[in-house]
Amino acid sequence: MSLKDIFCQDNAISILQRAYASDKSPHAYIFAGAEGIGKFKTAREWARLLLCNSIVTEDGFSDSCGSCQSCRMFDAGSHPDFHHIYKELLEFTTDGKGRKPPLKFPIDVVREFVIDKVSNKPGVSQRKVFVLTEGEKLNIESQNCLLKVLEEPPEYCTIILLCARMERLLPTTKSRCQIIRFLPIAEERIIDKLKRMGLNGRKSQYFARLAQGSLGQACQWAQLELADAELYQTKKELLSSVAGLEYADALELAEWLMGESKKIAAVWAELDENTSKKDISRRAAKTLVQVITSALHDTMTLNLPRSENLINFDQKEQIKKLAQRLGPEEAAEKIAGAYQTMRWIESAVNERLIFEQLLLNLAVSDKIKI
Amino acid sequence: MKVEFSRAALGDALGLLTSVVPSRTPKPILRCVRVMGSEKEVRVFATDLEVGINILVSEVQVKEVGDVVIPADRLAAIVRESTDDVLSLEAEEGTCQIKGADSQFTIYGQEAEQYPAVPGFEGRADIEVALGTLQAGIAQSLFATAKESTRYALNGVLWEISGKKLLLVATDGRRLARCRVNLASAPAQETAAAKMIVPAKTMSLLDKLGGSDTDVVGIKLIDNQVVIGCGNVVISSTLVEGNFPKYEDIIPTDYEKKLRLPTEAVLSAVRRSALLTTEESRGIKLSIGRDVMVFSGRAPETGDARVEMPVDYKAEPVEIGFNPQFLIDVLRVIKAEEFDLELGQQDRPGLIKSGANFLYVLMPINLG
Repeated sequence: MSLKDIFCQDNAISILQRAYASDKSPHAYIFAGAEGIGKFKTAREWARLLLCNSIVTEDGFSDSCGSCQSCRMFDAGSHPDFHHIYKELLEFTTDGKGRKPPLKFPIDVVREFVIDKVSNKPGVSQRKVFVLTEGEKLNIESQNCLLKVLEEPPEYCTIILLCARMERLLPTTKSRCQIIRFLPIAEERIIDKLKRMGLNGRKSQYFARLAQGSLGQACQWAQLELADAELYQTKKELLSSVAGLEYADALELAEWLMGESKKIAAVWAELDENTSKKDISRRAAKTLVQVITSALHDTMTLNLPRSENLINFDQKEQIKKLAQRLGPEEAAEKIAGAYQTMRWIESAVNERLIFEQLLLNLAVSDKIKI
Repeated sequence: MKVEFSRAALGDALGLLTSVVPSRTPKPILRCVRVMGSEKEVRVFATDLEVGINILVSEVQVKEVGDVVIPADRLAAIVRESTDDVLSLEAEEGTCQIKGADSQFTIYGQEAEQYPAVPGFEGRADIEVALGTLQAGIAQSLFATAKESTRYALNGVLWEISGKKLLLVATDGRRLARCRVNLASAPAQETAAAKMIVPAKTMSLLDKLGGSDTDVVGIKLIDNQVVIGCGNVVISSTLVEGNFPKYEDIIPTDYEKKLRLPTEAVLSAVRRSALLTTEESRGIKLSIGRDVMVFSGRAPETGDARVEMPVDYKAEPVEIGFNPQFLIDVLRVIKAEEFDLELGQQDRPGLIKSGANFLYVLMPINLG
């Protein structure tokens, strides 16, 4: 793996390359873009390049050499000048022993793994690189604590914040960094990848479309599917039920959905032991809401010319049924509601209430008007 | 690899080594030590990526050369609990066996190539200083470093070389300690006026080094690192970035109120008068009048303390408040029986001197 092997992020990489070539790289970056589209991979390879002791430049494209001491240590994960900071590091802070993996990025991690470390000069390379993942989870205290370092880090430092939701960052944080946007990845690329992982064509295409350009997200779902979480089966059943959902059945369906969400979370937790359990159950719940959103999305676009690109291409009948009672505008409203639901999941609202509310809203509402 | 160790010698080496190994770290390999046997010698390494240590183990017999990385706490515990005089260590493909007369331990290690490099001491030292002198200097400066400061430079001790002297300076913004240490030989040309800031952690590790006072410590500056060799031990450390404050300007030179005080007695008086202070009003008052000095502490709504001491003082009377902890810290490290206290006005810092080599400046506090 090296910088040139990262595909589909040509724009971001060319910005980085230009900055490097002109010798004016800023000391702080924000890599902005949805989850799972290669922000961390790019940050990692960019760090490898910055730390490399004999950088190779070919046709104006610079890359790390892969064979110097720095690159070898980097690949072994023991480079003293590369710091990957993530919220689960809390466990390794001074008072963090036995503490559960947090949901927010705690200030202790920022203090002990960033603020305290920037002052030590680099050991092996000429520079030091800090990569903070899940920057959107930095709470206000943590961000304020970072400001001083973001503003003027020692000259050898590069700090990269990865962020999926820019509105969560304070204006003071944003103004101190150069923002580089990462775009969604093309569908065919994701399908290719999923097929190589061992998923069949139908499922690959569905998950690729559901992921909306997030390769990482699609891969996670594919892994779940391969680990028998039956995500695809759940989706099919869910859509069939939603298509003709009666008011009376909504609560029962919500109950079932909660069970499915728990089942998926359990498989997920086995695959990903480092992430907090709570985070994973939130992700599982969000995945299911995303499935519903995708159906609404299809409903909305069904009558448009490019309707062959349905996400739920495999359940077109159900979508048509849904479209009979939901016009495009109504569907759009429901999508907005679904996104609101996803935000509620993040704010730790009771899961049962969330599903009930979501499904009641989707049920046939001829008889009872709210 | 196959090596026979003397248990005592290996235990000594591991004792020092484990003080570098981080107790909790996201990188599991850092919790290991690397044991490397070559034809001539056996070296053990540990690092936390900031401070590295490299020890030549004495009293060994190398039967087969090799390299192994194994968990430090396990190895140290096995060596500590064993009863044999000689332990043999065999390693093959990452698995390590330690055998005593009646015992056998198998530990699974990690890949040796992935262990971060720990520099050795190569070539001639830039600076040389006797271990005893250096450790005395560390004791008199390290305590004054800042514990958690966003002014990075204050988290370490400044080493300033000038001629055949080394100045060790530490401050946390409210007090400053400066200690002058004599070098064992004239420094190399290029380091004759070098300055560097060494992290507090490295300084305390140096303080733990065993050896006789006359052992010579060799110090080398390479890029952003300092490598310190003493006998069988080589310590390497990254340096702290930043500009150390221009401390010369705050050392007062115009004071006329001077008195010589007994160290032990003053330490006791400060401790006693501090008994009646509180977290909020942490401060004791020193009132110096003609031939008498009074230490007083007051805790609101609780009570107050007063300790008197006869002194030889003829100048103008003065009253000044200090944080008792800052006084206790410095009086503990003054080895001489007497020290000099110099004062200016109430709002100017106090100056403590011991001999020609040690100096301490501390800010007064307002007692209201």
